[in-house]
Amino acid sequence: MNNQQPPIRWSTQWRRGWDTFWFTPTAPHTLSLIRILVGGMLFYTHLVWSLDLIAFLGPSSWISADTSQFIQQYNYTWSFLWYIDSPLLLWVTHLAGLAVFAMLTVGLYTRTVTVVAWFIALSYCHRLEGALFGLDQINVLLVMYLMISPAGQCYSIDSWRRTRQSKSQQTPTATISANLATRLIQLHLCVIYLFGGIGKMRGMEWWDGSASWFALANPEYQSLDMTWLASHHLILSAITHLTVFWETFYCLLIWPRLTRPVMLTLAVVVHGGIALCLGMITFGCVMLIANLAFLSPATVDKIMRRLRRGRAGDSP
Amino acid sequence: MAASPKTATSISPRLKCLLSVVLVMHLAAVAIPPFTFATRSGYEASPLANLGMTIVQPYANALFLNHGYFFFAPSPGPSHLVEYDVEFKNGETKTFRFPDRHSQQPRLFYHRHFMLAEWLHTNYPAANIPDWVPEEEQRFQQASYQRIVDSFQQHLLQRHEAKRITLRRLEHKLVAPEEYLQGQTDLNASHLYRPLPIAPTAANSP
Repeated sequence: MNNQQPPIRWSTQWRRGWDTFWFTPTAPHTLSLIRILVGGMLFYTHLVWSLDLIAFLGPSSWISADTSQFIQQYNYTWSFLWYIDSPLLLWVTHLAGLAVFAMLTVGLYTRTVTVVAWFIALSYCHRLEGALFGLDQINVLLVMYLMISPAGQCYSIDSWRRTRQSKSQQTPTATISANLATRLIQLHLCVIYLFGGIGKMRGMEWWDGSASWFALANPEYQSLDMTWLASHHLILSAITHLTVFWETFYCLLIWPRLTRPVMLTLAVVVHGGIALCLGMITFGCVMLIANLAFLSPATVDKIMRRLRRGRAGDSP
Repeated sequence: MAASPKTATSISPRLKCLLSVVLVMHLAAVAIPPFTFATRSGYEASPLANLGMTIVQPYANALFLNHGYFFFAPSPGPSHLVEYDVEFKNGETKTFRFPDRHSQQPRLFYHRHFMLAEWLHTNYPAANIPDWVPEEEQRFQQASYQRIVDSFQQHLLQRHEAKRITLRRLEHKLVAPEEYLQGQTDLNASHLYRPLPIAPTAANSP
């Protein structure tokens, strides 16, 4: 008797793997947590523009609307802010934008609000080229992927209202769209880190171990004086090499269960370091928010339940 | 206890196929811009990367995906600032500099001004552009830079209600660990600031 199974074709394995990777329904807990945090980050980011709104978006702004359009004339970009001149109208639009980001954070009309939030964030980025940095890139990509996900299913006013209307606890639905959004965030993050690592490999200072000193001793970035490290070459070179290797191999080592906790812990260390020492708290935080995509919905659910229980325990 | 969510129905093979194509195209638009950026050396990038970029650029630009992700790379270099003299209508003159950590708070607000100063520097037309770069492209770079300078000046004129603004670019040199250990502990010492020209020189002209 022949007990041998027929060999599975390579192409079939690929198709199954592809199907499992992209089209396995996933619970929305992780994305819902990301929604709260990205909504908060978008709100804060745009709140800061309010400190000098007219200087950034008004008729005589740092980068005038004409200049912004001229520079981007071959870029296939568009911003509704190019066409608003009146300071009053700018303020009305800006406050409406802040309201949208607040609604995204609390999860009110989440499906619609996520699309509007993405459109607004994108328009600000196209209008304000020149004043942007990594924070804006990550803000936009996260809200873009949230658009295709059911990110309002948990931890939202929407879910609270649904529960109240049906008078029973609504169970979140595992969906393919939640999985697609999660996978896209994960892969996008892998691309970011891979090219962050490759970029560093092109610089001599990232090989000779001195790059971390030049970042830490840059007065324009410095928020915590770490110059005491000048005589600690071993520590400086360890930080430098660790950063390069972590970034470059993140795209491989974040997937196995064995190495994922290590990569996520290093993410906290690296981005926490950037936030504390290099004055980019918002950028450090938004990168950590993106890293949450690698936490399973069950883990996020467990953490959120524990937090809720803790809060209930705190109350008198 | 972890939630046990309901599961939504699966999708048809045809829709899966369509979605797969969209996903591959989207991921190409995510990966090709930083790949092109990584292969760039001066004005040249890999021909293959350039070809890919031609295809994905409209989509990547429109969705704000066209980035290099070279954070502090290839080398954490010196910072660039902008210093400017304000000549007020009463004849008085004053000098300012941005970014300014003391007047620009919170940190994100300061960082926006820092990025503006760095952007001006990044757009300064490069010297000795190779001959094969189309003249039209060179002229566009020159014009873009001039527009940025004019825009900054116009903004500052209005902000200070001034008669004249004179801009300068500044480079803030970094102190090496060896220099620091030899006593150069003031990272903001005046000799570390190098003035750079604001107007493009003849070598930068097409």
